[in-house]
Amino acid sequence: MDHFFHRDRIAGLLTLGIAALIYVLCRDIPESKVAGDFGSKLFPLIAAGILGVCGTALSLRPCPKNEKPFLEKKQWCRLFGLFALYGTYAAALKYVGFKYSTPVFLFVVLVLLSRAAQRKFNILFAAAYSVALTAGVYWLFQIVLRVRLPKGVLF
Amino acid sequence: MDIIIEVLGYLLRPSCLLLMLGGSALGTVFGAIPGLSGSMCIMLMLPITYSMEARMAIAFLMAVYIGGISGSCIGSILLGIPGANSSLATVYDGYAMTKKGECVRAMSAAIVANFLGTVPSVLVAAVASRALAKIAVKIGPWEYFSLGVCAIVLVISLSKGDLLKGFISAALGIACTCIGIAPVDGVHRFVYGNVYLMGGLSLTYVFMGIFATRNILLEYARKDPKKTSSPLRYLVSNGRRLT
Repeated sequence: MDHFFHRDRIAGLLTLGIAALIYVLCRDIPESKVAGDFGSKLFPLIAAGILGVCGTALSLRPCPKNEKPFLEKKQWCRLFGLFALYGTYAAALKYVGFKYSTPVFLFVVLVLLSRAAQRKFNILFAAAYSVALTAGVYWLFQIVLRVRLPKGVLF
Repeated sequence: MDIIIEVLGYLLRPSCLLLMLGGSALGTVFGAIPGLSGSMCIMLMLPITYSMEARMAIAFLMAVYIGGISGSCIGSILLGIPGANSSLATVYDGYAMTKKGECVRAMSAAIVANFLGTVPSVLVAAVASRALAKIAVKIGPWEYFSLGVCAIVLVISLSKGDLLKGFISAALGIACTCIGIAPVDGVHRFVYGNVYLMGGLSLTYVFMGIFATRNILLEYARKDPKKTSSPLRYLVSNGRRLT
């Protein structure tokens, strides 16, 4: 079963998913008013076509059996778990804003990475570090560089 | 020739040398920090140069830019995160050397290579800028297209013999550059009303995301935590230990 989780197969399936997503999203691009012109969806469709063909070929390609697996099944789960956490953070930035989502995200990531490295974990230090880093980034970008950080739709 | 001697005489003044030294150091710091860049440093320093003499201001800004581009190799070598597009290739060899404990050797090689690349480029630019400018204005859609094809072929040839992955990389690159306002007819592609996406994706940040996220995710996935401790239990047990 672990052999199924070969990195080429995972990459192939992900590529297929991205190709399908691009193809679906291309429907939202308006058609060109010039007759016979492919319009602005030409290049995204070319990219989706290449990704679809190559993703299919990559996922169907026989994986070498004796090769050491890139990641075990559990490791793939942990990888996608952390990736999902990043996705949640991206969504939280939009809805909750930078000021509130970043310290929470940093704290959770610190807990996870410290646990993974089996290091001693100081909860107060982690909390202070998360808040201080967020404050530092906020000060540098929002106040010094005048770059607007997400305020959050809900606030 | 007289102009070159005059400019060199001006640039070798102690005040100008000091300013260029400071500018290159500042640019190096900005280039070394992933997320910041030499271009951003130039934007920040621009108001300062309003009070300077034009020649000195240009020398300062060039020093900042060269420092920023050269400094981007520091992030590539030490963290595996390219600070600029130009230091992308440095990640493959430089970060691998750092993982072997040879970061000083990698940094030395990068700095020497930066110097060997910068000095001839500056000399060529000083001598041949006028001729190059005449050629540059003649570059049209055909030349841009052939350059694009050349870049895609280069990507495929660099994919270590795996043609499929090379094509996937090239297609992902095309897909990333499609985000934003289409250059021909001004249609919004994959923007969905988000003003941040209208200008497209900056390749520097895309590369940073790819390399930094890859390193963090793999580091986390490959470390094997104690099977008995869930993240919550780990947090609670450490909290108790503290109290």
